[in-house]
Amino acid sequence: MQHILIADDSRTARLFIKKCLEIIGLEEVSVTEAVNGAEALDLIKKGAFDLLITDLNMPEMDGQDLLRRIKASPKTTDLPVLVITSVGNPAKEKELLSLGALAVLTKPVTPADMLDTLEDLINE
Amino acid sequence: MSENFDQAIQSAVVETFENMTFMEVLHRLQEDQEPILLEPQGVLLPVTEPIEGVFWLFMPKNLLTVIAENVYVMETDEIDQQILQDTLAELLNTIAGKIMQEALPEDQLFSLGLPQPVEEMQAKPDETMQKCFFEMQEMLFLVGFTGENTPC
Repeated sequence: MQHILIADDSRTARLFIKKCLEIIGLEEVSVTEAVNGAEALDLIKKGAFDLLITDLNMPEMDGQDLLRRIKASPKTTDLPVLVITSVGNPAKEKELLSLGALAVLTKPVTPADMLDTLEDLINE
Repeated sequence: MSENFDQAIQSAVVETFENMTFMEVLHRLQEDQEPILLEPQGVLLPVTEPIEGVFWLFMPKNLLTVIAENVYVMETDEIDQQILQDTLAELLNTIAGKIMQEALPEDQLFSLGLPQPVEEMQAKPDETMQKCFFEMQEMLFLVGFTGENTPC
């Protein structure tokens, strides 16, 4: 069973991502939720995840700091990370990809965008 | 408000609502008398770089409920105040990001703060706010900006 971690301070954003996972038929996927980067990092250190889907703007520890810390540790550096952000533009996307993000989605994210990206990442 | 900033707001609002809700949104032209919003729920979002200012979104509770039902495929009785506030924050976060993308050059990084609910006492927008009114499902909502400089 694949295990996905969703880090977002917005309950509705987490709900939207979970709905997308259901739509693409990933009933076998186990989903864990974190409300900020610090909580996500703690969970990542304790458990094995196949994919992290994270927001960028979050309290306590933002998504960029979380990404930097994950990629800096040999134990977690291989974790694929999908970043969803409202502050996305080509410059930001380049910065996040250079930090090790596998993909960056800029809001407004349509269900179709989300589904295409998730299918690609999960198939990989 | 500068014409470019006004255009950036309109474009961001239309794209956000069309993509997130599949609902039509219309820009309401400014009238002499400011329209009154019914039971407005409010949220604000600071922009911290490359300019400083605050984006605002005020939306009637009924409209927000329809949007939440539509976006998150929820029944009306499942939608509580927290879901409404969260939906409002997510909408403004997306709209503000889109406005900044529209307004700034592609290679210009920008930063937004965290959305905060607007308390009832603050719900009357102040005189310095630059306002754009929109109509959706025959209900009005307001996107505003306060700050010394606009992004364009």
